[in-house]
Amino acid sequence: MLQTVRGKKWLGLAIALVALVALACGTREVVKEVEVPGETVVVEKEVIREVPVEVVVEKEVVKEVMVPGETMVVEKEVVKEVMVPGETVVVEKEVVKEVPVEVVVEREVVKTVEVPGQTVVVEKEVVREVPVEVVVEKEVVKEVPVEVVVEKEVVKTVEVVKEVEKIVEVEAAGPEKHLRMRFKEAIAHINPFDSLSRPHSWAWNLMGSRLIFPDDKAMQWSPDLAQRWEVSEDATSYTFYLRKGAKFHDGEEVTADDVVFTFRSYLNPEASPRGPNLLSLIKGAEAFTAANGQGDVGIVKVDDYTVRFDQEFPNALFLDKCCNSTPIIMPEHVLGNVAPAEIANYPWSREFIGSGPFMLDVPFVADRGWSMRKNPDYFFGEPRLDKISFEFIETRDATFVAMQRGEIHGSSYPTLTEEMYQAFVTDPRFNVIGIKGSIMRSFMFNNNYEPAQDLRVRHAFLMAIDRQALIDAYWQGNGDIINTPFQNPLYHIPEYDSRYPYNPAKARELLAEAGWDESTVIENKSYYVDREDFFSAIQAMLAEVGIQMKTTMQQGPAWVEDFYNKHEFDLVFAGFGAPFDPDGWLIAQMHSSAQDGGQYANPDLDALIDKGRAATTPAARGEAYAMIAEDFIDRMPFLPILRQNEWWYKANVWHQPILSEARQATSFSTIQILPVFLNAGSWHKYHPERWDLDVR
Amino acid sequence: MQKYILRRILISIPMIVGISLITFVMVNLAPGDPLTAMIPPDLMAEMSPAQLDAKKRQLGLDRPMMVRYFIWLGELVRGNFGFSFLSREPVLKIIWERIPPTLELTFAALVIGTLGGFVMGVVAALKQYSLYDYALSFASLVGLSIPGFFLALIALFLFVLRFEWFPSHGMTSELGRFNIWDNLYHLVLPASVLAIELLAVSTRYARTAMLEVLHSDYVTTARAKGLSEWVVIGRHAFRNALLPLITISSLRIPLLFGGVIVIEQMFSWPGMGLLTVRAITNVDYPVLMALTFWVAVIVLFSNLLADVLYAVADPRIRTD
Repeated sequence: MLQTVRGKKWLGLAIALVALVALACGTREVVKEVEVPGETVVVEKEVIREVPVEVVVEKEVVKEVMVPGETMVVEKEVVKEVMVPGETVVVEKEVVKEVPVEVVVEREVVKTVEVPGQTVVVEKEVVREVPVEVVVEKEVVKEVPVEVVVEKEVVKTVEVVKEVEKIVEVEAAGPEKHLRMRFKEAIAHINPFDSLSRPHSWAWNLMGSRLIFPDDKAMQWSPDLAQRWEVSEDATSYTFYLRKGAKFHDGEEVTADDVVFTFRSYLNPEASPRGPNLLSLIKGAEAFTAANGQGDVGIVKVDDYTVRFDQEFPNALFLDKCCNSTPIIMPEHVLGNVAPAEIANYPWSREFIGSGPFMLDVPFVADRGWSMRKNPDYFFGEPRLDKISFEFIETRDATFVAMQRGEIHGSSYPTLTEEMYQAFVTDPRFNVIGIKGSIMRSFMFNNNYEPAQDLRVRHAFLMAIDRQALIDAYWQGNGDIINTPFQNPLYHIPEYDSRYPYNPAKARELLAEAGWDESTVIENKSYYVDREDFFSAIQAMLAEVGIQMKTTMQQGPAWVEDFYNKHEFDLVFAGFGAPFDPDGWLIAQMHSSAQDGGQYANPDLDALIDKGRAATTPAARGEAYAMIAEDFIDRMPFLPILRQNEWWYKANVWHQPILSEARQATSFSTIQILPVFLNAGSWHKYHPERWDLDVR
Repeated sequence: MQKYILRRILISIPMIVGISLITFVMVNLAPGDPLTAMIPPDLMAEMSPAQLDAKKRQLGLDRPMMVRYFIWLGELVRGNFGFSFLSREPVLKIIWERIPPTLELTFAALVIGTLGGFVMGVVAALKQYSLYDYALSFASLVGLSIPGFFLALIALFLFVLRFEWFPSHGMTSELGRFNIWDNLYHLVLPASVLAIELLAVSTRYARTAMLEVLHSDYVTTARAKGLSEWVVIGRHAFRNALLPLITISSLRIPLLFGGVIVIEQMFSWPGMGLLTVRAITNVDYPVLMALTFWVAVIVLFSNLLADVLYAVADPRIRTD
């Protein structure tokens, strides 16, 4: 079998090339081919192209894979896409990327169907392992003006040398590629307008599409439904150009109407009762929301495939707000007839009509799960997986056992015990991958707490704690010591992070200077109910320098009430989210318009935060954030113990483009930490149609 | 008899109201409210106090506690259990979906525990002071002493991970494809673990009851009359030994429903136990109140059932 394929490699390549070209052109192509030992070959090709366009943009991607020895594979892909009518300009761009790779596993599947007079299915599968040193990728984009192109091409090649003698192999269609994932959250529906937990986000990403998505591979925003987008020069409006031909699962095309409907619904508290405030940058959003979705708002349909978002004030933030955690574009032709207040009660569990790579198969049942089958008409191509299901598993123990048994391949929730991760890193069937995290596990004093008014007390507090020892003991070394929440490379000031090293002697000195009363007991509140030993360790370290701390464990709701609502605390310990764009958490935690748990807000800080919001360049934003960081490193509103990365475990049979890039971990210290573009946890937004599963 | 049952049911009503009032007050005195449980801290921080107030009004949380209680009670009388704060679905629908899995689990455990315990206990009594008797006494002591979650963990690691006899989670192998054998296959392990405590208790009760009966005068008389051992045990001893067991099993039903809270979590069994834990952690008190109501009904009903079955088995009680 292998021999035959190698002998006919040129044929395989040719077919692959034709298929790629045809696919990329949005054409329909049928390739029929029969291979029999000897030289009998029947090739039939039919290509029909109908491209009525005004402007054609040509994209050419050439991939060269260089391999030591003499093997060389050249791949060529030509993409023609329809774009807006425009000027007669030819733009050429060339991007060369050099990526060092260790091993490339190539998979080739040739399916051969139909012999005259007889229907036969022959399937061949070859898996090759090719050691590669360098991959050179070239991308050329050309814009060529064309008026209307209607092309029709029919190619038929029939070449029969010998009679069919023998059928090589007959096999039924391959085994189903069914990816099974665990979830544990108590979700009751998969309504994209009304949900916040991780499984929701998985559900929408697999079944829906957004305008653009944060691409953890290219480290930039990448097209999803919107092929391209523009920010006006004064940064007061953002325009998105939708691809043509993207379809909802029911066959209707996705248009600007759907985008407008979706964003308006998101801003309407009746339709989206827990609607986040992320979209408040849109012009008139606040009034629109206050009026339950009545009146004008800056979401403008320019034409059927163009939507413009006018901004309340110039800003460089809108892409993060519009396209990261918020709207999955929902069908106006279905939901437009539903009263906004009824959208929350729409039978989401049974009907979810999105435009994503998978569609609802087995409806959602609370505490059981749901499953999805592939959408063969997905605009990025037919998914490789046949099915994905999410199964409810409540405990870590059962999850671990289910992974070991091969009942599931991964999880939408990564937390396991140290022993379980240990078992995964030492087992070649699994891998553990680190994703650069944005969770900052940190103390925070109540700004009104009298004994900590003297900033030297806060500094001493931090210097009394051996943070590295804690990270090693309680977080398996998985974390970095930081001192400010500004962790985006654009705004990060590295020397701040070494400001308060472990130094009990210095801490005692500072406390003496501040006149610290050793009889004071600081009451710490935390919802980390399973981390009593961690707090005991910290209390022992603090006691060394003469600080008494007592920790009260609270359930989440009680803690939220004491911290955000009543501000009844001396000190809290929590996992503060500090995502890579500072705006979100600054507004949430530090601005006087928000809950301001720690009571740090003041007009000067508000002004700086607002300045950062309204700046339209990273440099201008950086100025504002540098000033805030300077204030923070002195006043220390956050006293972070560590910034933690997320560890995800997966079965190696599951290929996920981002996670599968990580090297195989063999111990905690060899777990590779992958960078992220915007947020931890958005790796699962990366092209689900390219995920794959090895099945026997 | 009917009058007796009716009277018992009528007495239950004020008890249920009392239980619901205590639960309502306790849930409301606990720190936090449904809103803080519903909205993650990050998002909560982004909301203005006015928005939070609006949401509280939307959920009806702005009124005083007692007013809310009587609204709840008033709706209950009309058969309306309200809507879940978490999912906004009718509470009745949520609970209704969870009843069959829990009934399946508890019924299986009841059968395994009672029948198994009775047979083992009777055999132990008949072979008193044998090695079997001692082994069984020891085993039942162990079964009683080890908490359910620990047994579940042991079962998970032994029978699922090591021997690979049973699946690790859920009611079926594949979502949406129900097959009774597949379902029973998933049921065996959780039901057995849930049954262990009842099994241990009923073994000991059955043994004691059987021993007591075997030493009673009427059994001696039966033997003296020359009846065969089979008839003595099967006809005279057996039936009388059954009496205390009926009481024990009936009174244990509520405890089984308590046990499902742990077992359903460990085996991801989508029943009432899981729902209860969820309702508590989310301060979802329409669901919590309905669940309490349901548990109160179960307890009262089980007590009633014990009394009625007792009357059926023992003619002396029947006359009243």
